[in-house]
Amino acid sequence: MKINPVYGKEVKLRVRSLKFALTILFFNLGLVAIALFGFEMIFNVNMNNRIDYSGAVMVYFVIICLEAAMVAFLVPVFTAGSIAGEREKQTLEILLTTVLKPRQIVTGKLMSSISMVILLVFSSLPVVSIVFTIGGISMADLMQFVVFIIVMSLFIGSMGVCASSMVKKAIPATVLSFALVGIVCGVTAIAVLVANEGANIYYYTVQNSNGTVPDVSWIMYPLLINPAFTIFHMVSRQYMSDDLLYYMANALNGEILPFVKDYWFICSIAAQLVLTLLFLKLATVFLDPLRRKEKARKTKGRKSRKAAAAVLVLLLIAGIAPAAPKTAASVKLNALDKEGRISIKKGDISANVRLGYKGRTKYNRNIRADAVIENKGSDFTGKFRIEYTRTEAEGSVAIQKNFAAASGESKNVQFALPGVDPEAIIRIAICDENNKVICSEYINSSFNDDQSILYIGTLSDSQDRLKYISSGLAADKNSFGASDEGLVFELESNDITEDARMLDSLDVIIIDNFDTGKLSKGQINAVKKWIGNGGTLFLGSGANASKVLDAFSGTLLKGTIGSTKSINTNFGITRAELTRLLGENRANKRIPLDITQINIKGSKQVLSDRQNNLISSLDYENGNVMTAEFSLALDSAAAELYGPVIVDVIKKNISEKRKTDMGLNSVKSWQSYSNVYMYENDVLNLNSTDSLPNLKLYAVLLLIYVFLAGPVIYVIMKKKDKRSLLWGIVPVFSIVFSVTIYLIGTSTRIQKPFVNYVSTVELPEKGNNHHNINTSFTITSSSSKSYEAVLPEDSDVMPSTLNRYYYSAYYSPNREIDEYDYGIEYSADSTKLHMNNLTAFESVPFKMSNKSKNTGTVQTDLQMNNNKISGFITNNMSCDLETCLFYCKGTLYYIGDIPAGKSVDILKQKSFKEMKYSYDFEYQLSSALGGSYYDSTADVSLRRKIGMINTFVTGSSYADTWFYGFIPKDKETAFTDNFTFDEYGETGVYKVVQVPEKINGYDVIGSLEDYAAEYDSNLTNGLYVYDKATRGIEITYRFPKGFTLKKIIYNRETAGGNEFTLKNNEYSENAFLGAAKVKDKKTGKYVQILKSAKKTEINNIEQYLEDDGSLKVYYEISNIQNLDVDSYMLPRVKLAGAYKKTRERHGY
Amino acid sequence: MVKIENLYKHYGKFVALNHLNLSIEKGELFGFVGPNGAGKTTTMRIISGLLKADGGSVYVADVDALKDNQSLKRKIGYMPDFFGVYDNLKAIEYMEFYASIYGITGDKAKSMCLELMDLVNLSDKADFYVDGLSRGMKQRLCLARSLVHNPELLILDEPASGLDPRARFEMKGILKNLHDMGKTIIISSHILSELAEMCTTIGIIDKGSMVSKGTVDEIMQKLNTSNPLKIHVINNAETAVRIIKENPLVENLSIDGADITVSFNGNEKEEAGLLLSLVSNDVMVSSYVRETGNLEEVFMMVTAKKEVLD
Repeated sequence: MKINPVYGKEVKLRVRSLKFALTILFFNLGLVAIALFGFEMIFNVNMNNRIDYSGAVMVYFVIICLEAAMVAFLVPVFTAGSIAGEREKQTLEILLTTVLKPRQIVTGKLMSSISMVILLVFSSLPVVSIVFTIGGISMADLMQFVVFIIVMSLFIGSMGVCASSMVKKAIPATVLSFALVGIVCGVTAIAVLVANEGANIYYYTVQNSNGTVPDVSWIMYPLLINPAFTIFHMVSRQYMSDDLLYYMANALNGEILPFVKDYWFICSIAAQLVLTLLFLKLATVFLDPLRRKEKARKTKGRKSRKAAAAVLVLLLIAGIAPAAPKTAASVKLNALDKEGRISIKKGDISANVRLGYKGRTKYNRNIRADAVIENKGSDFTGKFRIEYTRTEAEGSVAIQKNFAAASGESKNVQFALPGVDPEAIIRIAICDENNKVICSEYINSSFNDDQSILYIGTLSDSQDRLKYISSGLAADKNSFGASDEGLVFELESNDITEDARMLDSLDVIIIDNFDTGKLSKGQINAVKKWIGNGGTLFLGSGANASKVLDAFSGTLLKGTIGSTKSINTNFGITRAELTRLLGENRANKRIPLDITQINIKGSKQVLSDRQNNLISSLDYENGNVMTAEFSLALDSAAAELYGPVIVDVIKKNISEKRKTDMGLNSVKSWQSYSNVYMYENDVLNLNSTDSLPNLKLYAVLLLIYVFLAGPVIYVIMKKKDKRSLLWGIVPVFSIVFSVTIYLIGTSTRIQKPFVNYVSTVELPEKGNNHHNINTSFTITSSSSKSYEAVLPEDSDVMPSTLNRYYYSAYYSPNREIDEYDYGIEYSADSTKLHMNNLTAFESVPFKMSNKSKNTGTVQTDLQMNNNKISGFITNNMSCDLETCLFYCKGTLYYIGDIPAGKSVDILKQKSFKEMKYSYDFEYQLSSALGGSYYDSTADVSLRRKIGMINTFVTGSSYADTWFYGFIPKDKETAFTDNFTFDEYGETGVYKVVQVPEKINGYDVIGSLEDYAAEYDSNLTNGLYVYDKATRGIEITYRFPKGFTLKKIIYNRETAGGNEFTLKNNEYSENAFLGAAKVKDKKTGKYVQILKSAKKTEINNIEQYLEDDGSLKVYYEISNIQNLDVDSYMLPRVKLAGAYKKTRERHGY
Repeated sequence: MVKIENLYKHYGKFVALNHLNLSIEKGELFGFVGPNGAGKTTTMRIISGLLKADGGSVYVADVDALKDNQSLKRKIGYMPDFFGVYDNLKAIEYMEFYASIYGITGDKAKSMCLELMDLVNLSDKADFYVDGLSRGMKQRLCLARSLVHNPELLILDEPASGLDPRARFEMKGILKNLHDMGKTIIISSHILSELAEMCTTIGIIDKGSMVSKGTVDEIMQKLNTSNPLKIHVINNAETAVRIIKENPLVENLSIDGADITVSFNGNEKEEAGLLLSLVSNDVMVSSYVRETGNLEEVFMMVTAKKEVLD
């Protein structure tokens, strides 16, 4: 190949000077410093709470953007002087009299001018390659950058050469070439801003906000020739998930050609190359003495320039023309109708879609999505999709399910959506097999954020006779404190879905007078699973007992159905209670009722009159099944009088889990709002620090390279007088070192997505079944490329919506297909996780539940006598447990490992007491485990465990006694079987433990606030005192049936507030300040029973009880100025007493 | 070798070449003389393809120089009056660079370049950096450079300007050598005498036109005739002036008392005839001499005479 002589001479000249070596040295030293400093900042565990791998990608982008900026500044300097410099040196004429064509001179000058810059960029590849020690950027991404930088150098260089040939002196030529670069980069960018602003001004002033904003998106086409925008776009494509062009065009009220949008990089490279050729042509024209314009003379050159200008204009017009003004695209937001329905239709395909129950859904619960898709055309296979706003960014999450509808067929497609942001915009769509949307509608979700009201579904052939439930919920204003206490949804059999998650919004399902044999096995299983997750199934029987019960017998219910008889009953309710429930004075007269005797094994009575059991309840996992021995379809007289009693039973007997979910356990969850907050999201973002790149090694390697490629090889070649070879040697070194770093980096490079997970198993009281594992996990993308994970079809996986309220939702409705960020596709043979549009190292959260491989439970045989615990904890699981902890009423015991089948004596374990001044469980936990979550140098596995325990404590704070342990890695579970990715996480097992407590032979039933029944909810919630109530609060406490309160104890240990330790001017989060009084029935006067911070034990509290066994306490709250108390509370008092011989539980 | 007809070139209103005609035969060492701004450089740049002509035709070795630029450039070697060299380049590399332009590379280029440098007496300076050479050496190097493609025609624009006497002498020697080697050379200067010693032909240009062209002897001859006659008369000065004015060969005269200076365009016989007529008309002539001025003076006269007459 013949080398351009000018180029050959120039490169020979440039390499002569030591500047050549020093430039390479200092340029790369600078970059090495930036890269190493960046990596140090990101991966130094002392500086970061967590390791965010995406930082490596940021360092990469910083370096390449710096290089691009350097090229943009250096190339004009080098090129502008190239021809003008020859002219100044008077060497140009000689060149022009040789056979060299002006074209050759121009290209030779251009090539030689940019060759140094390109060599510099090339020499920096080993530094840039440090990103490969983490990944996130592919070799192809780097090559794209190299292509960009070469084209950019050529383009800017051609402007410089053109300026250089036009202007006689080097300095004006430099100024001119910077001006050209400024025009290309600046004017095109400013034009976009001006157009955007102009369109708005036009809209607001000329159109007075009527009509449409003018479409000025065509102004984006000139950006094709803007190299700054090219790299901006390239970086955004390589790193960010957002479609920059789409949003820009949208902001300019239009859209750009799909081809240009999809291939912007290629288009802009092509446009810049065309302009490069034009500039070079122009430079040739100016250089050619026979064509150069002289005063007042027509030349061929002028023609060329005209042609060049014409092509340029045509190019711009070609870009602009297709973007003829059109009205701005906007999508109408629809709303669901009153029944929660919306229809979508295109051609022969239509879908009738229902969301939630009558459009309602509960806070943080899964949403039912149900579509009946009708196909009037030929056979159709497609996907029903729902996209909803992703809370963290503008993107969205898609959930879709495959279906096949033959001609004329209707298909029911159902799945559950996670609890989405109430502001979310939801897109409902039908897609074809290739994920292309056929038709869609957008709706404003505006779901009700009902949290603390009951959702009851009724399934019955006589729904009308169950209406008393709904009126009962509306009428009773005594508890819960909400205006509406619940909603009743009349269900049809297909509302009982085969996917338990879709039932999630319902708290109670009542089935009465309905043939459950009509339900499929899948539906029955879903109901079972729903109960396991905390649902309450309420079955009515009466004469139709077996019709209702049969489908559930065997698996869920074991027992017998006896004979039916007619009785007269007052539902075992006193006149006073009935009056309280009805809100008016009514006699508890007996009414006739047909009952069928039902004996459910393991169940307990929840309602009975003196002769007959009426309703019993069986706990099943987190939920329960209630069975009524009569039909719940009461006649109107019975419903009018005793309907509220049934409703009251339902309210009192929903599961503890539901009560927590609904925020009804807030009285007990006082701890959770002190110091502990939700850790789970943080825990899932803890990345392993084990395999971070060894920065020292890379620092040494890079420094060796920089000096080798810089001065060392220069000196060697100078001695051999072969410095021209440096043009080849430096790139060879660069490639060798890049490849070396790439290869060494393989050991730490993250080459495929990875999963961070926390799995938890709630251990059952007893039994030897496989457990349900609930797993929260994130999948972190290793690059911005889309990918998918295929899971077994029965994977119970859903996107998680952590942090939903940390970000405001923004949604641009008219998105293109396939632009959702990630999603799930359910199909008959698999469940796919689609990662569509994510940033490198972006983590997306999911939840999954499945069955563990492990069986068994942890047995606790513990008791507490006069505040002293004793007993044993036994690991009856099929595997060892490690890092075991036991917590009981303020004291944390560190047990460590418990091998399978072994017992440990709780008294022999190390214990960690509560903090003196404030409740700080985290501190206790850190002391026990020997490391803190916030200590980023601590072992990641330990930090994860701490986070998981804290998450558990936060989420289950009603438990004052619990066991927590971890399953060893090699014994793990089933969750990790689902992925081919690397997984990092822990599997924890926990159990909330009841430790029977006795004081002086009396049973301890907990703390006073647990029994707060009647109080003014404006002043208190039973524990906390609100600002308005600084004087007096009266609370009636009701204790379990058959329990007689004998003794109350108030001291430093029972008081959860800090009134006992509070000194002057000390801060406390909580404290009781004041006194508690009860009424002496004989004198009618109030008697003080306790005073804040004064140890009290009353043994004859019985005398102050009301006739019905309840206790009325009057509190006086003092506002003590010189104490810094964050919130006032009522005293926490331990209760002890005795049960009557027949013990029964009355839960709420 | 070079045939220029009606060559016309103007810069705006200024006419640089006014229908210039010139032909140079193969093997000539052509001296191109004229005052600054006469059009020498313009002509040479047009011949060299550095400037576009506005009219006329230029043929160099049968190549239409105004049209076939590439062929032209293979035929000519050009050395401008002012030129620069590349810093940081050794003399031999400087040569090799230009050789590479003509596709001559490697050892072949090196030996050829050394040969050429030998020709210009620079063979011992091959490894010297160009910017370290003296002006004369640079000039010779540039000359060698213009020979790398063995051109048929060498165009040297004021090669001697700025050189010290010794350098000029050396340059002359080299050019003579080249001439002896059969090259056609066009060399320009505003100093006629410099060229007179070596040129076979000389052309004088003024105001864009050829004033005179011929061998040195012919030119000298011509110039001699145009030297003034200095006549000193003792009496009858008016008569003398009348007689002189009447002579058709007299182009110009000036009178300073009894001294009369006459531009007389005639040969020796005619000179004698003029003297005879003066004497026969009783004019006492004490001195009658043709001034033997140098080339420069004559040159000055030639190029200035029109102005004087006007």
